[in-house]
This record gives sequence, structure tokens and C-alpha cells, in this order.
Amino acid sequence: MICEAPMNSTTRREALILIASASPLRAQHSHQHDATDAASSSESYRPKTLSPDEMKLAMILSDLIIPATDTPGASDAGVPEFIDRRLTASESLTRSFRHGAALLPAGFATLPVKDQVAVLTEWDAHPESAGGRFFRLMKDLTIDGYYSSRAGLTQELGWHGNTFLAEFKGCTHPEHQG
Amino acid sequence: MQIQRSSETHDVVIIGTGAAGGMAAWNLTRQGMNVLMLDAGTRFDRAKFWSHVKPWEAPRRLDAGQAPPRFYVDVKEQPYLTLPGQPFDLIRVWGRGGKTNVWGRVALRYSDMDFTGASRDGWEIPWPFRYKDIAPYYDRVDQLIGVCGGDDNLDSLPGSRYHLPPPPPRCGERLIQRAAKSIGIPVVAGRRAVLTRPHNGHAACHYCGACGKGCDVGAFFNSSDYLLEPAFQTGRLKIVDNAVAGRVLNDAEGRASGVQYFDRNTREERRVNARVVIVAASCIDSTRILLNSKSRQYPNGIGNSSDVIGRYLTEQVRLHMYGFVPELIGAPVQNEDGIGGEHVYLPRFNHRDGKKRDYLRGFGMQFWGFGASNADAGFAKMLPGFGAEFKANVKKRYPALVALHPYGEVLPYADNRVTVEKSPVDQYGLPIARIEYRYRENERKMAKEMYETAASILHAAKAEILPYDAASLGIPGQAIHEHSTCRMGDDPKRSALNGFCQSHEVKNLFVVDGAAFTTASEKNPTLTILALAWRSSDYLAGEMKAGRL
Repeated sequence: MICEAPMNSTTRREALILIASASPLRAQHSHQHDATDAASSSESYRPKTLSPDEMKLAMILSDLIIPATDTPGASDAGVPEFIDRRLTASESLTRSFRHGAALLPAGFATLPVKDQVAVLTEWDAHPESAGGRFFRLMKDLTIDGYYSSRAGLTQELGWHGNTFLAEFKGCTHPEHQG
Repeated sequence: MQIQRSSETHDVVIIGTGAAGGMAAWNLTRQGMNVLMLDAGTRFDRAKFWSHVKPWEAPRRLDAGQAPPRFYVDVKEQPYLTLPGQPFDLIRVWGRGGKTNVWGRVALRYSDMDFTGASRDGWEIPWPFRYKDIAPYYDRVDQLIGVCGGDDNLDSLPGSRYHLPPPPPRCGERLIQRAAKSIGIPVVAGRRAVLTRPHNGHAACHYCGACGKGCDVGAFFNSSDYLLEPAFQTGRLKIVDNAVAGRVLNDAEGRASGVQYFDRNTREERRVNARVVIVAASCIDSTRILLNSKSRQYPNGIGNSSDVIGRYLTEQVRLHMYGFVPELIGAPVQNEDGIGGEHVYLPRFNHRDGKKRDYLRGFGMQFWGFGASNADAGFAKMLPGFGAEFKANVKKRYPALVALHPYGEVLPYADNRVTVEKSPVDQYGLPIARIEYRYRENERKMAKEMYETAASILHAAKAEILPYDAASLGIPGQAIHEHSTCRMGDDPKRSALNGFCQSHEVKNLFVVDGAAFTTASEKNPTLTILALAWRSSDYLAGEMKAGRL
């Protein structure tokens, strides 16, 4: 939702942003030249901490937690990249991730999805176990990553905030007035 | 190292450029005084704020070497001490305007219930003035900075004739307001220093909801744009950047004579002379500076013969409860950014039913973080399971999230305190602040009713309540409302300052920030800091013109 801000409060910079946001070319433009969107450019991201196998694991686990439905799932939204960034910023988080990953049954990545789900279901049911703690970590990271991504916020949740509005109308549901 | 000492004597030297220092500087320069301010940082450039950087854009910008302004002081640069098992989160902003660059903007008037609480219940001392004394200054502050709010006027929350129009409530706020009303608790329009229309040359809010990253158009009060810029225009204000104040200096007669400070980059020591010194470095840093200002006359810190400075540290006890209101589960998502924080407020009410409580003082409630005003879904961590069903659950509940945050007054205790005696020194060779702070029985008892009240409102709204730990009182410091370590009072034996923030002991020394507050109240302090600094600097100007300073 883009509205014109009143001119007396619109600086030149704001006006430029308004024009840029309103342009129908913006999406295409940003995909080609603007490397600010994790979702549109994860193919170009080079992991700093996770190995290729670990990135694949982050992809599988995050997609089990938030799968693609009628909207993108975690890996399409750039969650593995998000996880790599978080781990890069924290050695203790990296250790927790690696300890946890070692608990997975051999060949987890190639198991049928229902068997992968069974492992996570078991861990989810035992939050105090080592597996339970790893599941908690992966769930939290996936939630943080997915719901701060463009796909997670705008396509899934329907968030279209942080924009310029001339007026804030508040609740417009008729049944909540009065 | 050579100490650079300026030979010039300024009318007034002010330590700190936040709400308190900014107001004093604005008011004194317009009355003809020459003011020098020491700012521990530099000016923050609004054009570089990340107010309009979307959450998903931040990582790649950081990769590209861009960064948002560094508002917050890194504890590695300026450490402080706490005791084991007694955490205290100290949030500091060094730089032009201080914390007003990123403050919560809640602008509530204190009432006589706050100013005279101690007279009624006997706990510690009352404030040295009453609401009628400061009310004209609240009026002037509202008009100067622009505060939006309703037309309500309560014994615990006095009204204002100068409010800008309040923004309409969000969906969840309407439902919570209705639920609270159904159990007899009034929830009124919130009051915030956010411009819902252009005001005094400042732009109106454009409802982007990113106030916490700093406002890119200056549509909420900040000391730099609203006070310091007009003060510069008088030609009587100078600000020294990167000037970390160390000590207030005094002469042989015991009068304040100037300030010793250090260059934040080079660590070089410098000194400036002043006829009057105003300390406004924010509560804990002001206290540290005063306690470190030891001399032959003031072995316990300047103006601290009473041994009051550093004691009675109060913050607020703050709790959080979350739920989902049924009417909004699965509802279409609207833009709910509004003016950033909540648009409604629950004023203190625990005195109305006439029932005696097993604790003293009271609490109010704030409501930030409803529904789609969140550019995240952190609440999802508290929902069970995973997979497609979990994902659908999160989506349905996103617009229905309501958040209740009661804030309670913490009583002043002599041993909740800031000291420097047992501290190691910082990079300038000065002892760092050591904070001892813990909640007592009164806070625990009040917190019980705070939780119960939040739960009753959620029950009345028929909300699903997210799990909470009723034994948790949160981490002190996180309300960022430190006060009272250099308190005002009528009795010089029990207070450091008179009702005009003037040191009882050192007449040309003033402390005008939250440290001067006699008690905490349950309310956010900045509006009162502004009113108090205005009133105190009027007094200062009068005393100076009369030749008494």
C-alpha cells in the first residue's frame, strides 16, 4: 500500500523512495541489480560457516519446519543463508548446531520425508532431550529467518508495513467499532 | 600528558545533550546565556537512518559495508559492573540528542499521586513540589514538542489541553479496550510525542512504524532537532563533540568551577570553566560523574555530604503477557504500523476500588507489539509443532496477537545504588559505575496483581493466552527508566537537590535528568524530565540575573 505523504512533510529523499517504490519496474530492477533481497539472490550467497552438506541439512530441516505450501517454504525464502549468518556471528551457536546435527540418524538427508518428520516429532515431544534442544534451536532459527524474509513477511503473513501513509485509519472492521 | 585548559569562562556548561541537557540549553540560550555543551558522541545523520530498510534488506546491506547509526554505547567501550545474580541492563546513547533519537515517545504527566506518594504511605520522601507547580511547564512542553493524546483527565494521569489528535486504535487495541472496560478498568488514548500533524516546523508522522530505528523526518521529539538546532540559531550555543565528561571541578570555596573531560578518540584530557555546571548525562552516568568528582572539600563526591548521591536507584518492574483475540484469528491483515507504539494506555487504577493492597504504590499498562505492527512473528516460537499445520497456525494468529505490558513503580531503597569505590577504572582512568539493584517484597507483591490484571483483561477478551512465567519479574534496566540517584527533596540531609534541581550544597551545580527524580512512578519519565529541566533552568536564569549564582 503506497500513499503519497503530504508534500509539506516530504523530503527529496522520501520523494525518491516514493517514486522508486511505486514503479512497476521495481521488482524486476531489484532482481537484476539490487543484491539486497536474500530470496532473490540466495544462489549467489557463499556460506561463511556451514559446509555444503550442512547447508543442505539446514535446508531440509527448515523446510520440514516451514514447508512450501501455496507460499514459499523456508529454503526458498533464504532461511539456510539466514542460519549461516547467525552461526557465523556466534561460535557457541555453531557448536550447538554441530552437536545437534551429529544426533541425526545416518543418512537423514536421504530418508523419506515421513521418516524425517518422525525424527523431529520425537524430538519435539521431548524438549529436554539433546535432540529436543536441537529441534528447538532449528525451529527458532527458522522462525526468525522465515518471518523476516520478503516471502515470509509479505506473501505468507500479508505484512505490507514500513511504508509512507498520509493517514492512519486504525481498525476499519465495522464490527469492532464502538 | 598536557592538559588543555580553555581560559574562557562560560555562563553555563552542560554535560549531556539529551532531553534534559537539550531543554536546559534551549531555554538558557533564548534567555541570553552563553552555553557550552559536552556531548560524548557526535551528531546522528537522519539521512543515514535505516527507518526504511526492510528486514530482509539488512543482511546484504551489511555485507556491502553499510551500517545503521551506532546509537548504543558498547559495554566494551564503557563497561559497568553488576553483582552476581543481580543483572541490570544499562542502555546508553552517547551522541547528539542521546536516547531521544530512539526513545519510546510515551509522554505521560505525573500526578500528585506520584509527587506525594511518600506523604501518604510514609515510604521515603515526597517530591519538593506539587502538580500545580509543574503543570504550566507540562503545558509548555506539550505545545513546544507536540504530544498526541486524548481529552481524558484522571487523578492518576492529568489531562492536557494541548494534545494533537490521537491516532485511532488498531483492531486488537479496540478489543482489549472493550474487554478492560467490561471489567471496570479504563483504557484511554495513548499519549506520545509523535506529530500526527505538522507542528512548529517539524514534519508529520508518515506511519511507517520504524521509530525505534530513529525517525528519518524528525516527526517525533528528539533533543537534537527540537531543542539544540533552535538553540544554535541564537548564536549562543557551542557543543564539543566526543567529549566524555570525567569530573565536575570545584574551586577553593567549594563552588563548581568547570568540567574535566576526555576526547573520546584521542583520550586527551581537557578542562572548561563555567559559572554554573548542569549535569544531564542520564541517570547512571550523571551519578558516576558526581561520585568521581572527589576533592578535598568533597571527599564523597561533589555535593554529596548527605551520602544520598548514588542511593535509591529506581527503575520500573515490567512484565509481558501475550494472547490471541478470537475475533482476529484468521482476519485479513491490515497495515497496523500507526505511530509505532501502542495507541492506547491503561492508567494506574488500583486506588479506585478502595480496597487496601498488600503493597505500596501502583502500576499502569502499555500495549506495544499488536498484530501486524510486528515485522516478524516471534510469537510463533511459543506455538506447538512444525510443518504445514504449524505454518497455517502462525498465519492465522498473526493479526490476532495482543501484548500486555504492565509497568510498576519500584520503591526507593537506600541500598539499590550506584557506587564507584570498588570499581576498576575505564580507559580514561576513572572508576566505572557499579550497580547494585534488586527487587524486594513490595515489587513481588505488586507484580502478582500486575499479572492477574493482565490475565483478567485477556480472559475478558476471551483470548488464548500464551504461556508465561508468573515468577519472572524481568531483567531490571530494560524499561530504560533509571532514576533517583541524586534525588530532590526539601531536607538537605535526605536529598541532594532542591525542587529546582539545584544542589543543596553547591549552589552553582544543577542535575536535571532522571537522577533528580524523587521517586520513579509507574510512568515513562521523559515528559517530566523536559518539564523539570525547563522549570529548573528558568530558576537558574532568574538566580543568575539576580546575581546569586
